[in-house]
Amino acid sequence: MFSRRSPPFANRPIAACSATAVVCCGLWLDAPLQAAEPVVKGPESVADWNRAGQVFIEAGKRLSPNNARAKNVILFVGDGMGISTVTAARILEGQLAGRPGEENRLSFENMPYAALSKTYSWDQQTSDSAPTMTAMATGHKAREGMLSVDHLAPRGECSAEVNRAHALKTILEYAAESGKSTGIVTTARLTHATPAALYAHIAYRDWEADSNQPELSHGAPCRGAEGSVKDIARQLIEVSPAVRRSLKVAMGGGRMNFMPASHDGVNAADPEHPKGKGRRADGRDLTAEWLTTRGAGAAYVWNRQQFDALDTTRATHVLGLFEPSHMQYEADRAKDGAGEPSLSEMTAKSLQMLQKDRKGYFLHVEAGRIDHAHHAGNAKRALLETIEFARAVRYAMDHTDPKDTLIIVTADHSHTFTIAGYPSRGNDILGLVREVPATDGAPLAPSKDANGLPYTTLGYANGPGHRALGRPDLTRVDTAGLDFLQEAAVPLGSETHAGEDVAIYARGPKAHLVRGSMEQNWIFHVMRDAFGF
Amino acid sequence: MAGLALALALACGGVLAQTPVGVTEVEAGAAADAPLAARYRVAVIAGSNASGSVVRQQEWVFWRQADTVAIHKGGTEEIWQRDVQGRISLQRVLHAQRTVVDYSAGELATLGIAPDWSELSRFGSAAGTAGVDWDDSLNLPGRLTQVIDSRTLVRFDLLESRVGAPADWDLPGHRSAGYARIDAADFGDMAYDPAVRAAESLDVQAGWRQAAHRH
Repeated sequence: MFSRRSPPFANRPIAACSATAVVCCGLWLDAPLQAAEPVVKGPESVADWNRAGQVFIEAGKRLSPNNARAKNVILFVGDGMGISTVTAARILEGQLAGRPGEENRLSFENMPYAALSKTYSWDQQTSDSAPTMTAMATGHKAREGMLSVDHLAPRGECSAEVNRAHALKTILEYAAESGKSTGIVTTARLTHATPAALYAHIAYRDWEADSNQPELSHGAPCRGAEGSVKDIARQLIEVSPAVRRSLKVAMGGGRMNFMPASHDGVNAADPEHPKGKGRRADGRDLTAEWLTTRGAGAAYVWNRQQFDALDTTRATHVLGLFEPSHMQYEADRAKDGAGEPSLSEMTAKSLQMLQKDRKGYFLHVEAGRIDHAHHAGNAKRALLETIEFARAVRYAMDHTDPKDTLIIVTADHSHTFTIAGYPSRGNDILGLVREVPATDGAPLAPSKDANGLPYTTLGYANGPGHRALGRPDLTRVDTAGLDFLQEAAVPLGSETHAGEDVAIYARGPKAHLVRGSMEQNWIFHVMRDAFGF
Repeated sequence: MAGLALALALACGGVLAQTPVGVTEVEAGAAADAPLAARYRVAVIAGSNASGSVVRQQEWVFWRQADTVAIHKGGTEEIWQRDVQGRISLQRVLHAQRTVVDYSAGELATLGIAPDWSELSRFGSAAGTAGVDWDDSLNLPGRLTQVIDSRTLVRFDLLESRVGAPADWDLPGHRSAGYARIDAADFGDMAYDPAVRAAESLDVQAGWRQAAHRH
């Protein structure tokens, strides 16, 4: 493969020769010329590269495997946070702080151990979130769209007995049975695939409320029928006695799946959006049932004010449902009517709840909306979600002890998101590609495609960013605008997941077991080994 | 089908708002507060002028309240709602799939859609139309003609309007109470779902999900 980039000294023989002797080149110069200053410069000195390398080596030499049993395990999942997303978010975070950006490190990139995770599922080359989280939660690769049941479970199986027969115990359930506290935090619906895989066992991820279940499945009665599998929201409330005691905090979106469509024949209005209502066809208010089944210390919150007022020293079990569906994107959160906490704020509150337990805890934190913004072909929102995710990880790193707390940060799958062209150091990651000029001193200018049009660094292989009328002239377009959709090669209504590996970062007890190329389900085995179950 | 998405596209496709001649913004806002229902005949006409042959005809119901604007288009409905912060969301009702798709304000923004409430309240913008007969008392078009391409026009004719909610009209939102619900943010994980495919198709017809509205 040949690079399209100019060789380092192309178009500048004069400057190259002047550094030695004019006569050796046999050229026509009257006098040697001064080399122009590079237009693009990183902040590093020559010595900095060596110094940073030595720091890294010394830090590595001081590493020693921590084989202690983990008191606590925190599993962070950036939904759809492929490696290109990590890279671009790292650059954007650095650039938002006024630096070139490439040298920046997201919080979790400072963890001592890392590996690659192979994300295929039992029946998918490129997976959805259900089998990928099932792999991490249970240690088993599973089928498309299924949550914590094995790959032999029939698709769309509505029988509770059959689902139960194929159920796989999750790391949260292991932790609960060992007497630890547990927690789940997400910016998606609490009933969405990733968080649900920790507490629900169901052969169809979309059955989040009973109204999502069909009247018939495989010819047998399903919704509301005796012996049918419980919908996911109901499974969260009606968990095993051990999980009921253990699950001290569950926060995210998805309020409508816990609220009835009507109450005593009257539409049950959503507290934040009075024209909205619940989705439960069975008439049950599961938010109220959380309070009645979790004891006197139970609390239910649905807005910012209630969240802020939560007394974590007194509350024993907290359910937070801050939106009818998914929570707001971080970029839009400030505009929310009722107000809602950020992912890092929910993480902080959850740790305050869980750290009361001397036996330890398991906490799962998901940045669920990286995935949604990518599906929409909207890179800036996806990257801002990722930066907030890194902020949540930083809080956990700062408020836990690596001697007793294993923290794992990973993604469930990637997206078709790319960082392309030869943008110069510090080039706006959301902007048009501008290469290092072939001649030092020449001005930076947008790189052009074969038709003479500029292009952005970020793009997608498919999705809504495809321009049906051909490539647009982006010269005067604000490609760093929040709502800009990056270009996509293949026209699809929604951008898709991608099948390449994702990264795993780890610190704490047994973090050294995160190494090399791993099957995604081995993450569960690392966590279980760390806990000593 | 292109014409069926017309009003929506007019309201949301990035077309500059144009207040019809003789109607001020103040008047438009005041009129929009009164609940109003209107029936339109929608005719797709072959030919470059309004006298061409009608190749397809439908009846739409427009329903306007202070915080809701909705259009019943036969097989589908669009229900736009504005909250107290002024954020606008959309419910797309798909009768064939017995499904309601929710587009939150954030999701609309992510798709690059910036709804203009004033335009929505007036059945869309007058910009780009071939002709408008404006009804000042209703703050709605009495007749609106839109050029789709060199061979196709779409004409909207106001048939009837009523203040309040006529009990005998099939108003938007009245039939979808028991329908399944989907969040448009979940489309990427639900490509197999017929309702998702139908909604995405309507989105594309409206100029969404292809970034074409942007450049």
